[in-house]
Amino acid sequence: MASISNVLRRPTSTTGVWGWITTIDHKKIGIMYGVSSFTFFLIGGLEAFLIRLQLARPEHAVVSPEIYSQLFTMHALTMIFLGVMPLSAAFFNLVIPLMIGARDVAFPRLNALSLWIFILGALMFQSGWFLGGSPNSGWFAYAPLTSSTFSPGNGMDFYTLGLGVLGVSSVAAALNFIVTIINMRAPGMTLMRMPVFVWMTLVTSILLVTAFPVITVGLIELFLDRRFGFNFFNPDAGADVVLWQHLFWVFGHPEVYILILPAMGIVTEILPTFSKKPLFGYPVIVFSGIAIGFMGWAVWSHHMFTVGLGPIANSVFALTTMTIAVPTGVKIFNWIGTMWGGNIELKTPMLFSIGFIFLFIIGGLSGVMHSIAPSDAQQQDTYFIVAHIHYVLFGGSIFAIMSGIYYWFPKASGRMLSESIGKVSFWLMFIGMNVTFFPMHFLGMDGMPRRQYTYDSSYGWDFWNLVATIGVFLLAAGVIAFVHNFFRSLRKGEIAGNDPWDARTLEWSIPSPPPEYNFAEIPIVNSRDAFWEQKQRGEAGEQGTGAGYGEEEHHDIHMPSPSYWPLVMAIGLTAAAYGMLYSYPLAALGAFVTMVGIYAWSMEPVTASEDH
Amino acid sequence: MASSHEESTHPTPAVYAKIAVTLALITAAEVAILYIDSLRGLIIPIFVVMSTIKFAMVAMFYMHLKFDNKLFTLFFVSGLALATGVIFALLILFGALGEGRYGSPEVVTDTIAHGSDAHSSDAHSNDHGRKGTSAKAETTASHDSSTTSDHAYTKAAVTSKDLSAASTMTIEIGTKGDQLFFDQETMSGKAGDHITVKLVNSAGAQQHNWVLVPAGPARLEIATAGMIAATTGWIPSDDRIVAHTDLINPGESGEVTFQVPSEGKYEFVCTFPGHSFTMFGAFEITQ
Amino acid sequence: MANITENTGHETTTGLDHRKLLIWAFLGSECMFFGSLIATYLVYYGQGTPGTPTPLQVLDIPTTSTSTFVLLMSSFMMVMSYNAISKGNVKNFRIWIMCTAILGATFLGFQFYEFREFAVHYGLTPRTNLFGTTFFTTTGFHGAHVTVGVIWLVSLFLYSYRGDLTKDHGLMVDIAALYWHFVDVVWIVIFTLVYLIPVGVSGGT
Repeated sequence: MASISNVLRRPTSTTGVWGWITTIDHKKIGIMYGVSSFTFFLIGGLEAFLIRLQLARPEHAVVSPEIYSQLFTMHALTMIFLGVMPLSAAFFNLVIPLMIGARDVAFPRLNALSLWIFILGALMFQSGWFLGGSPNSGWFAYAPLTSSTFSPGNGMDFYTLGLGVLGVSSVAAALNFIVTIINMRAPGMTLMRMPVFVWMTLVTSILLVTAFPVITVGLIELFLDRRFGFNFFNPDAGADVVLWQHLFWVFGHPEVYILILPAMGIVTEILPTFSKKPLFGYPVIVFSGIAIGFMGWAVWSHHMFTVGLGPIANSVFALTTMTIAVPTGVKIFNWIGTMWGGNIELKTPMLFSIGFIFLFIIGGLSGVMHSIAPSDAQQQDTYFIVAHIHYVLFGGSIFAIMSGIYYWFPKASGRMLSESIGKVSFWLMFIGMNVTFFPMHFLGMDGMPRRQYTYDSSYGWDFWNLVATIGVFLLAAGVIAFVHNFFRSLRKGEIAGNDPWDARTLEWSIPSPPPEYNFAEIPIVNSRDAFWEQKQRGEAGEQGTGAGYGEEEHHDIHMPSPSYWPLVMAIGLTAAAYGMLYSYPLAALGAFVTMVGIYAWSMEPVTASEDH
Repeated sequence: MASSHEESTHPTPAVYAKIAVTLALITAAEVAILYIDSLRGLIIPIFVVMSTIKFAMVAMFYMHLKFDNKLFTLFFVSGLALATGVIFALLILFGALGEGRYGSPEVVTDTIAHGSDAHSSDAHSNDHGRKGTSAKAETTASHDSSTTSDHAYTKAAVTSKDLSAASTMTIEIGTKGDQLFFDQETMSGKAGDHITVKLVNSAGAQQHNWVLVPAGPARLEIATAGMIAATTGWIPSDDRIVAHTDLINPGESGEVTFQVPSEGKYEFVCTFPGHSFTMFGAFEITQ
Repeated sequence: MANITENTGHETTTGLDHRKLLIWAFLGSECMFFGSLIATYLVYYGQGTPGTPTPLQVLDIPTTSTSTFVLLMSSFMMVMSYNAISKGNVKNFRIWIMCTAILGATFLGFQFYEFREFAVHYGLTPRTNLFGTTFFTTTGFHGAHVTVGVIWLVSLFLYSYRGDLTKDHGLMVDIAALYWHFVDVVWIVIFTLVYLIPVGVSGGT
């Protein structure tokens, strides 16, 4: 077996294309996560753009009804699984080891595996567009609409297999970050000294490893039903199709917090930095984050108020849902308290963070309205829900992620993003977001159903639909301005230096971009906001200036060596998934390649020996 | 990295062997208990306790949780507790706790006859809503306590009515294809007669039933209560129900035989969730 | 199975090995996986197509208790092999771990026999009814886990001939053992919920 790992010579290059492909450096992996998921975010945006064009006027026919169904399904799935989740993962990778004073994550090769499974799985998921159709039954895929009777073709199989493969990636990454955060903190960094973003990453990772198995089982059951004639969701055999809804939402609601908690963490880092004040109520914000993660398990049926679970179940879930608003509200007051009386600098990251708070409050308030079951019965499946979800996911998660990109771009690239373009992009996105999604509240209250292909002029929905479509153009302009800013700043951006924002956490104590080993010396942490206190005492710079920390002096820091095997395993797994659709020999080959990958990986030493 | 491995604190092979013997004995005892009829009523708690002991012994000793860092226990027990919570929540939501329900009614009866104690105690402790109504049904429907259960509603319709009459008239009622309507708006029966109603479900995808209830608010009340009665074909246990068919699959048909009440106003309705708003009609009693 | 971890050389915050934390977090996650499968089985228990095989008709308690016994004993063998390797006794380790793998394979043989019996003798397949669907999926995924475990154990057995298994105080064996015991406790739950209780409450013996 020892020879397996010698089939491919150990990669040695750390630069160039192969340097990126075989890298196990968490910073490079984070950047690749960010770039690939932002690309998918743009694809999801394009899908949304087509949806809005279709709805711009009554009885429009920009796309066919069949394509339209695929568009709204894929828009949701792309944004959630290929956009927001991996964008959060990009920040986990890029920032978490730096924040806790570690040289890498606990399992660098497992980290590379997560990345490659994500990229290849995402490509597979999107390949449905070219292989006879994408999923078309809504992102929640309610049974029995998804059965092979009602959804013939391969569309729904891309759903089951694609999400299954992406789930492997998410769970592997989450396990990695749980171990990293628990086990790789710098000396002195106790749990209650960890930055809030680290805390939120921990809670999110725990939610991921517990929630994903549930949907995995649901996907397996659906897959077996569709491909092998099992009866899980077959009413003819006495099956209860509501079981799918339960399995989906048992996963689906924690998933909502998987999307928003990292965003809350990002904002909680940025607000104190630009308010020049410590975070207001650190323990409260940490415990409310944990409480949200915990209570997120007890509210799933509020997605199912109109299913007919009965008054007792509806009341219970209505009450738990109202209760979960409390820790969320607590966080909002903490953020406001942090800014209160601060010396606020309205730099672009801060603008996005304040925008986040503003928009998230609106989305949160309509969310509390939904917790009242009788009221929800009126709003269910209308555009009111669409408005709510976009205020919390776009106004919430995406604004926080944009804020994070502006904040940490200098750390990752060594250059600043342009402030002037940044502000233009913020205002375009902020105004565009409100023009697009606020009218949807009116449309929903007026009874316009979601996922509807088109509408008759006599319903009186023309005006607000047109307004919403105009808003999308503003939104798109804002995103394009950001993309322009990104590429421009990579080449021409102002050199950032170690600590361009006068920030508080450890990642700003080292050069931008950080050296491969991150910290020449592992920092000793004596308090919360240790770097900030160091600067206050005038001790900063001993670690950070970068002067005198050349390669030569740190020859003794052994970093894990690059490896091909994560990529090989990811290719094997994706091939196996395709094989389940098209040919079982291919599936067997994929499984075999995966096995070879596992064995070779196991036999390969973490760090290549000197003679390589 | 080896600091977590203090072999000295781990048990000796002798302890491992004792545990292995205990595990084997418990498994043997479990099988033996299956053959002891007098323990039948306590069988669920007995098995739960025995398997929990086995589970705990393997986890604590073989997996060393008793001796290792408590963080490992936290990880594992959290996952375990969450999984248990989700299982129980789903069982409660599907009304599936503590009922011996398998397939056709014959099997249900069979199950009750053998394990009535465990069943009724479980069912009653876990579902207060049903407890109340089934207790009421007991007094009106049957005095045989050993067969009283959640399924008392069945007897209210069938067993408790006098079915001695040999020949009965059959009335057929259908559905308007896939529309949520019965194909008749009124039906009628002679007071005191035994009649058979045959429901022909001509829908392509929908399941339906036919439930005879008193006219007025009772129809919607019973239909609403039926929305959580998935396990009994959406028919709640309510002693106002005069008669009902089973839940009929699309393309199939089913019958119910009952004695027409001597007086009062009645309506028939499909209690499948959501159907009661359109699928109902008047049942007239002729003298 | 060597070096799945990649420690960079400095001590960990908690003093615990990364790999052990990883496997325990993974097992917590697996609890949810099997929990969902078991929930599906229980929710659908007793719902089915009349006239098709029921659990009471097909479940064979004596045979399954034997295979349960086999799996429980394999756990004992596993803990003995870990005990051997942590004392540096590679020879005993090899004997015990092969016994474990053989018992695991025996369990799989029982399961194959059971599945075949159901299909051939009773005509019960996953397509027949909800019981078939949920039974084969729940026990089948457990069987798949046992299969992975057997492959893992055999790989460790072969790996021991490279001679550096004792370097990390048997941690590699410890991790495989935790997985193996977990598969065992999952079976304890499945045996109780899928076999014993249904047969017990119905007096089906």
